[in-house]
Amino acid sequence: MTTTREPQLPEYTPEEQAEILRDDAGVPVGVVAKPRWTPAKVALWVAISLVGALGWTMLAIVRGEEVNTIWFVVTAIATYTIAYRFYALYIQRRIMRPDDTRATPAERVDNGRDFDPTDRRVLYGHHFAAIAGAGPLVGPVLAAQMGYLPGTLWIILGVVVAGGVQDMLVLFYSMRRGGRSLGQMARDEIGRFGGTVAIVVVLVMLMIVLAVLALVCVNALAESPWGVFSVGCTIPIALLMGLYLRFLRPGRVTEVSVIGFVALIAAIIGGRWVAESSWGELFHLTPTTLVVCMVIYGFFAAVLPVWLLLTPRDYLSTFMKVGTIVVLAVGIVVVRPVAQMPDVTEFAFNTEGPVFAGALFPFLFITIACGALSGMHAMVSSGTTPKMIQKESQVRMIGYGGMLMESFVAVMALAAAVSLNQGVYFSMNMSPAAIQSTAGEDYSPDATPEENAAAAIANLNVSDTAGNQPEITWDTVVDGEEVTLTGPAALEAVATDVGEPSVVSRTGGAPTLAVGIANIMHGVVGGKAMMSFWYHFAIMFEALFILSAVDAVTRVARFQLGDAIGNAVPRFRDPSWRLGSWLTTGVVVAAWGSLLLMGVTDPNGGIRTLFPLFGIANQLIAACALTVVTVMVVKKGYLRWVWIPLVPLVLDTATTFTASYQKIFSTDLAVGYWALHRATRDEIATGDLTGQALADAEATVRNTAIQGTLSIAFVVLVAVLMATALAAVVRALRAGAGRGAEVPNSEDPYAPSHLYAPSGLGADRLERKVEAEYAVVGDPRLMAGGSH
Amino acid sequence: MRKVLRAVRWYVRELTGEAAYDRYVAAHAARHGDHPPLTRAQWWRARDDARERVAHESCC
Repeated sequence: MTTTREPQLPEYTPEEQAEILRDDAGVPVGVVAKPRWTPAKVALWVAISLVGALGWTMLAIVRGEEVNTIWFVVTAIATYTIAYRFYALYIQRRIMRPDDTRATPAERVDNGRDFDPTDRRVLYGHHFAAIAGAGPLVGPVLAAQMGYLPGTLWIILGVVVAGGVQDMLVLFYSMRRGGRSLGQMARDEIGRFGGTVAIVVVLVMLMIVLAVLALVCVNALAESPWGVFSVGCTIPIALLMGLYLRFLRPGRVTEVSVIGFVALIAAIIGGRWVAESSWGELFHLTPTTLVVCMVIYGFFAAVLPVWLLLTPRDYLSTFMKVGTIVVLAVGIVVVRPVAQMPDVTEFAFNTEGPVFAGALFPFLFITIACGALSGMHAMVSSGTTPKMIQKESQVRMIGYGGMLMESFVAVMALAAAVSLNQGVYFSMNMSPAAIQSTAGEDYSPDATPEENAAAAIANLNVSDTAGNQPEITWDTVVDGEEVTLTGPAALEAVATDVGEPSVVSRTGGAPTLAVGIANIMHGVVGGKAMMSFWYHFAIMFEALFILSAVDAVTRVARFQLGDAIGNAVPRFRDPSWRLGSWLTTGVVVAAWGSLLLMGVTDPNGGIRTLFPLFGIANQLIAACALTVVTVMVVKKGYLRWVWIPLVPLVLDTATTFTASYQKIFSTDLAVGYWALHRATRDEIATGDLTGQALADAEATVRNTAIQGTLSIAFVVLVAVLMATALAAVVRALRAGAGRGAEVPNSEDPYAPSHLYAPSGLGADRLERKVEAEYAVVGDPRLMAGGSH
Repeated sequence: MRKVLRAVRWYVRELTGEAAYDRYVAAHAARHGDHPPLTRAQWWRARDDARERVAHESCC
């Protein structure tokens, strides 16, 4: 590109000049601004702090009968802003120490494929789309059984001290190591044995994670012809998008995404018509049939070429992701629903909770999982993202900032769930078995599910905001008149309003969240008539999240398995060997498929029994990631600040190990897998059980054995990894880490950078000036984004 | 207003990866001006093939 005008170089003051980093040729490559506290800035931060303090006061101290969920949003944003500006910056200065004169792997390798220096705002979008999934939506909804306060506290404070810290540090240290994966870093820094353990741990835990996510999806779609039709449509839509991009208009991604999105909305609207027509029965599938469909789908999605299904599906799901989050945020701000759930319910302190069993410590932390701290993020932060970062100083914005957004999504999901009537919430989230046992003598096999659910709610040991037994109520429109229904009629009205056959026992969190979103959104757009559209819009978006996780993780696991078998049979390493990839995919699909089938057929409710295992697995992966980070911090000699990763590591270890201990050793039948296993076996031995009861008992014995074995395996493997990490720390300390000695680590050698880009989301005055200078004097090949 | 629309268009094209081909063409011209770059169809096909061998991370 040539310009006819003489390029204008900006003029700097001497103070500004001193803050600019330059390479050998004098080209600017970074800005190290000294903090300047102007009165305006001080006033701004005082104001933000006051807003945050007001929010926390309203949530945690005032706690009136009517707490508006808008306070969740206000408190979250103020806290995030302060944490990002102060704590994340503190961590950056103490144990990251980014150096913008140093080239990142993206700048160094720049092969136009995976190593590709990407604009920070675009990369933020990519990173967020990769970390955000169904986890932060489902966890908070389930945790709402303990009331709104424990969940809000942990989502907001957890991300500040744990989740954001983990994501940012893993991202930074992986970037310093050529974008190597968590498993490889563990191998390099802890040793061959520890590294292998880390890889195995992650692979096994991925299977349980997939099974539970798929279970959420199955529970949302089972017996729902409308949902099955519209979600099923995403497959032909994605295939058509793939063919369009491959053969008709290569590379026109925006265009095809818009076409796909319109088709998606049409599928949601058309779903009602199909469900009500004579074809409806065709899409009325039982959970077991859906499991078979999911398994077949997962297999083909992993072996088909990515351009045909995976890539176009990612486009669709990114669109839906951004769209729904914006919709939800607007809805909460406009409608400002009042929390119907008390601040803390009885289920925070006992193990009688019908959604999942276990007291606040440790099961709140296990259940919320992704919205506050997620081990899975360590895989993205040590995968695609570190290979695309332009400048080291951008890690805070992408790693910490990306996680703050994820946490915000979790806060909104919680707000949507707690703004539902408590009776409706519990009716939806109790498994049929829980309804039967809670209703007790009032249970009747001849009654409708709604009547039995109402009987169960009347017996449930929980209070509403006024301290009374919760009542099922629902506002609806009958014959053009607004009425408030109660009891079974209210539950039936919910189902009619959202266009489902029934809402009772729709466990898993996704249907609850969808009702919550529909309940908020119909107040913004469309009124009651649009409620069923909003419900299925939300279901569609959760199902899309889950299906894209299912096929992407199946592929990742297939590659890892191929690599592992490749040690014995080298041919398995070749991903283009058709038979090998079919075999490894088959094994992976069979692994999560059988766990999924176990969950779907579990007589005690799959979500109730399996969700804790999912949370434990996820949080244990986070423990692995934080362990590896701690070793790296020690090796760098930053002993004074090793508490930064240690605080979340200790917290996470306490919750996961206590939860595992309770799941393995508790004598409480609601909590301990083995206690239930033994009790059920004894019951069978008495010979009193016959028919369905005997079959259920046998299933319980089998399932608890598998779940109990998995919990033992998880915690033992992680304990082994921690022991090897401790040995690595001792070795590093003996070698003089922290006393000024250089301990060898696997960081890449220094390479000079020749690229400039601002570090934050926006650019300040000096950064804009330097950008203008770089546009004139910088390397045009780097500025072109550097392909090839 | 036009500036905002342009920024939105830039962001969407970058986020979806649509702009990647344009950047390839620009980089190609800067580095190997002596021969023509791949056509859009060829370039996207090569990119699809490369993606086939890379495991794609996603999350819960």
